[in-house]
Amino acid sequence: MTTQHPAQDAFELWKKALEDGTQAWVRALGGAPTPQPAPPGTHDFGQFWRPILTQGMEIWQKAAAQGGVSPEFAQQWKTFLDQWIDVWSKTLGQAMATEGFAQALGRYLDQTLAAQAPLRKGMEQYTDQALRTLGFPSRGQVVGLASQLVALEERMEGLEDRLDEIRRLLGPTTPASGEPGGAPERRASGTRRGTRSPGRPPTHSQEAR
Amino acid sequence: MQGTTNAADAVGALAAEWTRALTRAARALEMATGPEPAIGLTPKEVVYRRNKARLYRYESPRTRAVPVLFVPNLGISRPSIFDLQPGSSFVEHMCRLGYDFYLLDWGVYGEEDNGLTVDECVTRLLPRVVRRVLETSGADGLAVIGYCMGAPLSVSFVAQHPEVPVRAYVNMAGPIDFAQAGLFALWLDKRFYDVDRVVDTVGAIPADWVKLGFKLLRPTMDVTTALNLWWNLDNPRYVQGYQALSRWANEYVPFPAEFFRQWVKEFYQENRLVQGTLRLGGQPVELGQVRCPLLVVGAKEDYIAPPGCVRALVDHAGGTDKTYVELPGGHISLIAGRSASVHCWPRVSDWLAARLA
Repeated sequence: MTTQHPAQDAFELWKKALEDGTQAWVRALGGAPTPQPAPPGTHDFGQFWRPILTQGMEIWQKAAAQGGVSPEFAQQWKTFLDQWIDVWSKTLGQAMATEGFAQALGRYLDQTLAAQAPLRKGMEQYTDQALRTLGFPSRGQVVGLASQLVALEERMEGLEDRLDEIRRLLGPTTPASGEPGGAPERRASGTRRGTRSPGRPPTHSQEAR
Repeated sequence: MQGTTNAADAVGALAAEWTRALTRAARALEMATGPEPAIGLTPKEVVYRRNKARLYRYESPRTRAVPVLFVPNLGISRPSIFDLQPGSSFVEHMCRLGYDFYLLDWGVYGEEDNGLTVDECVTRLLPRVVRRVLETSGADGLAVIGYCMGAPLSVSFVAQHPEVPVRAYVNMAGPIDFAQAGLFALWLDKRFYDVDRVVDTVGAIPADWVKLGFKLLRPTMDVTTALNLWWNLDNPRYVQGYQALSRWANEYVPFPAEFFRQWVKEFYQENRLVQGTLRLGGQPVELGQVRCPLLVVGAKEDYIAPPGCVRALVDHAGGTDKTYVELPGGHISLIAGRSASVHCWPRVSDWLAARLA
C-alpha cells in the first residue's frame, strides 16, 4: 500500500474490508462460496462492488486534490452512497433469493413459533384468569361475541338476498328507491333494496342451493 | 492567485452547504413536531358496508356511462395510497375524467374475523359489491380494476360469473402465476414454510409480521428513503409527498387467519389459479372464462409481483382483446406518485375510455 494519499490508503483498507465482509455474508447466509475468480455457475458478489469502489476511490482522490468541499463533491458523494446502497440491495437480494436463505428463514420461524406457542398459551390463560377474577369477560368471550355479531350480519344479509330473489321472481314492481325512471339509488347496507339490475351476480345463498 | 480562488470557492461552497444543512434540520424539526398530513381527501360516500368492508363511491361529474370498481389488496396496507393527496391521487384522476368510481375498502380485520377466507371474499362479498355498484349507478355494466392481491380475487369472481356484465378488466400489478412471484414464492414454498403451523400458532398474521416480510424484501429501502429525504428536505413539495406516503406506509394491516392460510396454500404454494385447479364456493375458477377486454399492467421493478407473474393473465384469459404493458417503477410507484401520474394513470384511463365508449 502506498502512502502518497492517506485518503486513498484508507479507501483501500475499506475496500478490502468490504470484500471480506461480503464473502463472510455469503457464507453465513448459506450462499455459494465465491473464490477468486468465481468459477462458472457460481455467484461472484464482488462484481457488484468493484465498479462502485473504483468510483468511490475516484471521488476521494478528487476531494483530496481539491482540498475542500464543493457542491459537485457533495453531489458525487450522494451518487456514491446511492450506488453503494444499490450494491448492498443487489447483494442481499441475491443472497436472499437462495434456497439456503429460505431454509434458514423457515428454521428461524419454526424456532420462534416453538418458543412463542407455550408463552402465548400461558399469557392467555393468565390474562383470562385475571379478568375472570375481576368480573370482566375474557378476551375469548369478547372475540366470540364479536364473531357472533359478524355471523348474524351475514345471516341477515343472506335473508335480504333471499327476499330480493323472491321479489324478483314475483315480477317487476315499483322501483324500491322511489326515484322516477329507476334513478340511481343511494344507500348503505341495511336499508331497502332496489330492483334487480341486469346481469346481477348470483348471491351466495343462491349458489348454495 | 489560483490558490486564493480555490480557497474562496471552497469557503463559499461550504457556507452554501451549511445553509442547506440548517434548512434541512429546520424542516426535519417541523416534520417531527407538525401534524400528520391528511390523506384520502376526495369526497366519497359509503354505498355498502358489511362487517369491516366498505364500498366507497366517489364524487365526480359522472359523465361516463359505465362505472369503474377498484378492488385493492386485502390486508397488508390501507387503500389510502390510491387517494393519497390532491394532485397525486389515482382516484382523483379517474373522477376528474368523469368516471363513476367505486373503491372497495376491505377494512382492518380483527380476531373475530379469523374465519374469513378467500372463498368468502370472492363468492359472498364481491357479488354483493358488484350488485351495489350496478344498483347505485343505474348502469347495465361495469369495469373492474384489480390491484395487487385484489386482481386474483376479482378476476376469480369475473371468471366464475361470465353472466355479470363486466365490460373491461384491468389487472394492475396483480400476481396471477405464483410460480413467478419472486422472493415471496421462494420464502413461502411449502418445503420451507409451514403455513398451517403458523396460522395454528398465531391465528391472525400480526401487522408487525406483515411489515417484517415486506421490509425483508428490500432491506435497504429504509436507508434509501431516509437518504433521499435528507437530500430533499429543503424541497417543501418533496417533504409533503414524503409525509403523506410515510403515513400510509407505516400503517400495516393484519391478515385474517384462515384467509392467510388459503391465500398462501392455494395461491403461492399450489399455484392453483393458473393451473385451473382453484375452486371457490365449490365452483372451479377458469381464467379462460375471462373474455372481456383485458389490460394487464406490470411494473418493471416490481419485486412483490414481478412482471412475469402479472403478465400470465394475458396468456390464460379467454378473450381476444388483450393488452399487456410494462411500465417503469415498482409495485407502489406504479400507482402512486409522480411517475404513476405520467406513465400509468393516463394509460389505464385512456384504455378504459376506448373500451367503454
